[in-house]
Amino acid sequence: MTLSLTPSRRRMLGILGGAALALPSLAAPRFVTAAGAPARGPNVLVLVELAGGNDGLNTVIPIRDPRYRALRPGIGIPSSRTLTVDRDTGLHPSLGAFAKLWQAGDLQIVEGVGYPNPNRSHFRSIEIWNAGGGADDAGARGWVSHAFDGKDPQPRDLDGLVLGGDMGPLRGPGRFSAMRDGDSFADVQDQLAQLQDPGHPVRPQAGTNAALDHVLRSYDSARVTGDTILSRLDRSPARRLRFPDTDLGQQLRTAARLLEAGVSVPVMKVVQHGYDTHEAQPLQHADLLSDLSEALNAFADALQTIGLWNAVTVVTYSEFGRTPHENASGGTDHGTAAPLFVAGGSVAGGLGGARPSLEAMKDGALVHTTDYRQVYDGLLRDLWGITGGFAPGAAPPLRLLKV
Amino acid sequence: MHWHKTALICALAFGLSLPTAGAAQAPVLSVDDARHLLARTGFGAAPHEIATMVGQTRADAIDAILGGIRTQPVTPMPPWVDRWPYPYGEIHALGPTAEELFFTNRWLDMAELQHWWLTEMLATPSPLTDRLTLFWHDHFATAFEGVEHAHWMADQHLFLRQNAAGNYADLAAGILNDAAVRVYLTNTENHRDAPNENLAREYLELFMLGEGRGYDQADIAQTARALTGHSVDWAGASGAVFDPDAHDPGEKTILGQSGAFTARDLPSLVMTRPEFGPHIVAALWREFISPTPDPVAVTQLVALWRAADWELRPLLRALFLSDAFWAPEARGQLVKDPVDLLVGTARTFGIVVPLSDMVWASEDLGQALFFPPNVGGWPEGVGWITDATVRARTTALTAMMALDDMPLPGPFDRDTGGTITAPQKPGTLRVGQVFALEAERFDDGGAGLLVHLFDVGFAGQTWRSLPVWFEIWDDDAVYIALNRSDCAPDCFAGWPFDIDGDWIGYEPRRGLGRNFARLPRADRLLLETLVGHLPQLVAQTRGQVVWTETAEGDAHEPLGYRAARRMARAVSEIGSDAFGATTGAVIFEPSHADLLGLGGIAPDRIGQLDLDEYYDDREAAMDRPAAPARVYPDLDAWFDALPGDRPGLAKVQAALLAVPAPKPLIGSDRAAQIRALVLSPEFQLY
Repeated sequence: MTLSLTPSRRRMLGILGGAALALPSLAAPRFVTAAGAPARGPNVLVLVELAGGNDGLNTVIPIRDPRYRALRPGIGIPSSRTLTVDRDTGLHPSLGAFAKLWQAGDLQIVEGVGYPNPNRSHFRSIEIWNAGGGADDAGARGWVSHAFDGKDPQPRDLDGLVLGGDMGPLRGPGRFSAMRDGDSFADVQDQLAQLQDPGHPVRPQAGTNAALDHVLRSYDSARVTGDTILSRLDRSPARRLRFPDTDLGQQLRTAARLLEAGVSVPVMKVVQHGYDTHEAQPLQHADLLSDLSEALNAFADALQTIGLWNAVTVVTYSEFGRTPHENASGGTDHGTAAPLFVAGGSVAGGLGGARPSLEAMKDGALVHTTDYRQVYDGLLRDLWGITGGFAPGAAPPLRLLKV
Repeated sequence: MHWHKTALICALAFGLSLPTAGAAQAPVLSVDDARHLLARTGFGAAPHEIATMVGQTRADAIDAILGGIRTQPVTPMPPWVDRWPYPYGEIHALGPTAEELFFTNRWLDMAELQHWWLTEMLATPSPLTDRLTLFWHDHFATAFEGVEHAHWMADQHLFLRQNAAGNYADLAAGILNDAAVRVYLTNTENHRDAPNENLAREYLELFMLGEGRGYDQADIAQTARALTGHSVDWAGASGAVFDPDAHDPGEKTILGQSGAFTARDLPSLVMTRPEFGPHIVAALWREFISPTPDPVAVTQLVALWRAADWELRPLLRALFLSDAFWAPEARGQLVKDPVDLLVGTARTFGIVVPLSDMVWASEDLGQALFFPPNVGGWPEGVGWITDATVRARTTALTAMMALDDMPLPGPFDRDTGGTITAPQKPGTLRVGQVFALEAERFDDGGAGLLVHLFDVGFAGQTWRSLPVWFEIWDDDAVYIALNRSDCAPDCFAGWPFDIDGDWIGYEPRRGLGRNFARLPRADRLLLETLVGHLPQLVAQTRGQVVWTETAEGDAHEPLGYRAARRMARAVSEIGSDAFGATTGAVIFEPSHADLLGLGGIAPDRIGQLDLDEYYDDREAAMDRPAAPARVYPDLDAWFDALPGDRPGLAKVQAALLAVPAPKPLIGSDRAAQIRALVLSPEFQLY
């Protein structure tokens, strides 16, 4: 794998205002830590849903492929503007804030991620990604809930927390919760606490009604979890952490704050909306990617300050990529495979997966090279030693972390 | 063993300890009993409903509830439900952006249907009707994302509603003729050469008998053969269709019976088996009584149900009258599903709710209507309650109980758009939209083109679509075919040439005119006008995305637009020789935007719109307050309407909870105490 400092860097510096914002060079990522395996506490996986279907082809750009230019005469990004990763690969110019992660070897770009017989409906396809199944499997239970079933990955306050969007991969049995804008977490906690006041009268039918027992246990569990989270937050003074004032930035600030306060939670989920760029894509997509890279960069900085960056792995995912050919409205329509980003202090940086061909397409869309479930299996194995078994056939788990 | 039916029902009634007519001491309903019956057969229990029921006998109260079952909703459905199906099979011809807009609008149609159904559940005078409809929706679970056809989902809903308390034989037959089920369970791919067992398996296992009960893999395989060719027509108005070419007409052996069976035979083949019954009765038991059906009572109920020829009303009546239904141990054994929790709470307290919040909450709690997670349906019982849903339920209930001051909704708006206009004068063919769907040049020199005329009017008639296929072999040999399925039985009844199902065809040539003499004048005029104006019709398709078999690796070549026009001219010239010059005219009157399914946007305006803004606007328009049948202005008024003379909180508990909750420890503010009871774990049960 060749990874070189490229001419585009100078141009990018120019765009961003020159030396004052001097970015680190896009040198080869640091594959091996000097001191062997990084120190790591309980691991944390942060799932970043890019809702709407991210245009992978304008995110990680095959700069030397003439077919790319042909497919995208209007919205294609000239190679002179891309942030060059290697001689064949450029990043969207708005991903400048990823430079530091890339240079530190903390970023892996996994290309060509998808699944066979791709479904191009937003709702169905995200359901597939959430459940960890194939195109024809159906299930409401999220892959994280499924994978943690009967497992005890690590000591924890709760199994997972949703900070944005629906429960998605965390839907289903297990100690999962949501702390979203508008969930009024503290208010609900007050309500639950009130029900469980010490000295509360005994519930006469408890023990004789199985449904009641289950409900009481769940209320109790939800209350205890909420108490733990809130009391950890109360006891821990907050540092000033800098985050972009965007929806995604604020969700990641919450994630950082929870980790800072010592909340022990193996999985958190955040969401960034707006990727369904059917028309006038260039400006919208640029805004989305700069928000994404800046928010994730801020998250990395915050976690480094807190001292937990080595324990954290961030993964982006989207229901699908978009059509390789642009449409008549200066946008792209629902597609199939796309790259995803894996970032973290223990991540094996570099390019992963394999680039889909722009020649051998199927139904006018990319053919995936890497099954998304290989990503799940790799994460579960390397973070918690869990055999996910989501990938079909003999597809091996991906190596995403330095282990 | 042959028993007289009535005697059997009586014997079983005794076995189930049902009250008999004239019994002197039929128990009368207390407040607890009334709440129990209302909550189990509807959504929640409001003070006025409880008050009306207290003091009645069980039988009288149950008969009143069963007597109120409806087959039609009281809330008008979204107007598109009654219109022609949109051009689901044709819209791709207008290009990917239009297609995207089209299918996104179908998701919004479903959101609209969710809003509508929750409105109906709140407003209906017969909540049992909607509870049963929801039960069947779960039982025959079909999810929109596997169907992507809003009209067929609405059709299925209306079918389930119509038969919610009818005869199971009708449900068992109708569900096999349901277009949405056929798509969802991939019976569209069930071909005699490669049978697909999906629908057959779920039919025997989930819809009829229960897993492994009285059938085996061979029965599944044979049932799949019986179901071959039972497909759908994406392009026509009809939905479910039978394709004789795909059907395996041979003899099948299913559950011990042999014959050349089709879908029509399956319900009785299954329902005459002794194994049929317990699966359905046990499911109804879990819905209405408890999570643990009593096997002895289930057997008795099945016998009663069979004796009643599978009518559901007598079965429901027996269930509701059974000792098990009223037993103290059964109370508070069921977990409210999300829809019951939301609708039931709004109905119980008479709260006007913002609909979109309720739709969102039902989804957040895991029960988006029309989107069951898979063919097995939604979770049951305690499966609904997790740490996450405890918080989400608490959030939703807190919000709802704070909604004392919602404005009352105005009347439901119905748009009147999309009315179909008749053509102005006779002899004029009015066409709303032309789709070019297939255009190919064959290996041996011929070429063919398929266009669908959509939203067609002629001679005072209107129909949804008129597919026209024509092909040309050389300068003289042409062929033209029409699909008359949407105008049948009125169109071309006495067709003297080729007939293949709904397709009729002929080879135009000079002097053929007299063969048309037998056709009714209107048919002849239509044909003459159509053929005479073929080039103009084809001209309407310029710029469309036309499919050819080339893309699939066949030897066929795509046929360009110019060649298609040339071909249309040739067909038109040769065809006109058959009739002489046409006297008819064609007018293009763009279809009302609502008919095309683009959400009211004309195709030529798509590029000029901010679609995200448009989607937001359409969603925002669905958000309106919805009111239950009886609205209580505040908790004091609600409290005052409660029946019974028990003091304060005891009266509230009896009306609200199946399982007593400890007294809330929050002082003496009555409204606050009521809210606390609603947030108690016990309120999740009924």
